[in-house]
Amino acid sequence: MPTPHLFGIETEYGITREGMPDLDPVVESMELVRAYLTQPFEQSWDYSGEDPHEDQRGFRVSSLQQDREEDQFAELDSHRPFSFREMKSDLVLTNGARFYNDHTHPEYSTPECRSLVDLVAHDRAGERIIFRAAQKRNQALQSYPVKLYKNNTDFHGHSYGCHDNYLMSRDTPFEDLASGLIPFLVTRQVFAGAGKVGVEAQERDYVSGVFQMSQRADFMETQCSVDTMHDRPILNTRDEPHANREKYRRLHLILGDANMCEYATALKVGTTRVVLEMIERGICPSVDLADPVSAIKAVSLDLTLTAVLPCTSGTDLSALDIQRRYVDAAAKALIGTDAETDWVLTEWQDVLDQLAGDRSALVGSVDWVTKQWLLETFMESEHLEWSDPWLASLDLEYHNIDPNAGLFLSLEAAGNTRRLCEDSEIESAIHAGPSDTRGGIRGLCVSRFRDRIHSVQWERVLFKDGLIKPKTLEMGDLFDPDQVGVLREVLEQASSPSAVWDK
Amino acid sequence: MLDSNGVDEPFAHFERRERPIDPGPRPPAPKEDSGGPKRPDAGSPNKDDMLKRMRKVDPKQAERYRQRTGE
Repeated sequence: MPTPHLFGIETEYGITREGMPDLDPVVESMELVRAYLTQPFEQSWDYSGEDPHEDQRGFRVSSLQQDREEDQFAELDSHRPFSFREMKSDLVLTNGARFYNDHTHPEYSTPECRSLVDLVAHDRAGERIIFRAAQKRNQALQSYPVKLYKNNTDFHGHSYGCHDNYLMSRDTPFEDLASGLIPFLVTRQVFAGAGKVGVEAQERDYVSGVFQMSQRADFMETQCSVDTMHDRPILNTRDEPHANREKYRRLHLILGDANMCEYATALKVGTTRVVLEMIERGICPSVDLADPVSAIKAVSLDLTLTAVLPCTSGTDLSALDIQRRYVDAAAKALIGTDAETDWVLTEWQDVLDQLAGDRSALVGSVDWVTKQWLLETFMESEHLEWSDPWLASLDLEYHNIDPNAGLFLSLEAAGNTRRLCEDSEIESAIHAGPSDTRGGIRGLCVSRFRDRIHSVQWERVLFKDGLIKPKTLEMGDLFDPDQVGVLREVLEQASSPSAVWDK
Repeated sequence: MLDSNGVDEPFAHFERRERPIDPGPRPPAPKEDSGGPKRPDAGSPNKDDMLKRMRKVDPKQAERYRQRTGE
């Protein structure tokens, strides 16, 4: 049976309190997460499956570049009246998602999804969960309301991520993964970029006067690396499979932008899954970019999409050329695989056609095109230049997740965006996980037996019901939808966790 | 920017170019009930409403906005 490419998205949100001097982002993120609770916080997240030093290339690094900075923050945080776990405030929700304070940003990690519609619904559910937490927090605050942004930069050289994750077979050699994926990832931004006013670099040098395709391209500094906060890589090599390590990898991509457009989210993840399928089948096109790190920045700055990227073979290609090589190979090999793959192939070809020609139809579908349209409309009306600081502020406001203020959400409310799921599907995703993945099982455990859970993480749930030690629901190999369905039925009917073992 | 029909064309200044390579076989369009994501129609954005909303945005908010580096 081929490995199912389940996927999920982790999003770190920008957080601030309007007008508040000396904001403490640790406290703010912690309090925001806890505002979502309806009962006292209980520490149940099990960190034992997490080791960011493990590298997919087959070794373990002794340190990460961020370790020193993390140690400094830990020293600062040691004087606070709460522990590391209390600061993290990990919540596992009834939809199987993880909601917590990660590196001073509220982070929402969707449950594992099998379909793009489920993924989009759960990504959007995350926006609404975090907004509802902010509403509750603001009701308790007397001043300086909390504001949250689903974006990736503060326009001062500080970036935070939106990571897309894919379950894949351990059998695929890492070298094949790197050579097949990197040219695709460098150019994926043509439809997945969220758009940004200005150019910046890690913790320095913000230059206005420019509009570019991607929020994150400026922060990509190397091709492959296990680091995630400094010298960020196009292809992150962290090896935390959160599954049976013998059989699976988790591809953890950190280069992507946080998308507001549902269509962009679906196409970003859908096309990446198709490319993984080609790599595993050994049919991925070969593109030999000479300098992928320079290329990802060059593509982001080239809104005409005509710049050619040097290749070692001497055949220079544009970003659209490269994307077309991938979609053409995929269309030849994978057409008819299933309805969702067909949708991805059709839309992938269509979006490339529209990017090369009339882009107006992509307003409401592709974030950078939508943002550019909004900003240029405003510039024309107010007679502004790209260097005007108002434009960076509008860029930020595009990502505000308050529907009464956010520019993208205003477009959406007016019916001017391309929707892929109904509001009712998003509302369902707030409360329950996908019915066909272990994410839904995790959520079901929380919704039915919260008081009986000892600890929980991605691949297992430990219940308190064991006589000597906790009973463990292992999910490191639970990817067959039929098996998920059987377990779901048992969990739904069980009167207690021990009744699950009895069956 | 207005096009030849006098219709506002926000992207008229983009350079248009031919498709760079043969796209190969095209997959058929998915049927309505095919199980893939749906395709609702998106209307044309109302510029006046959006401009009104954008004018309310504090021009200095990005200058004040500071975050710590994340992942």
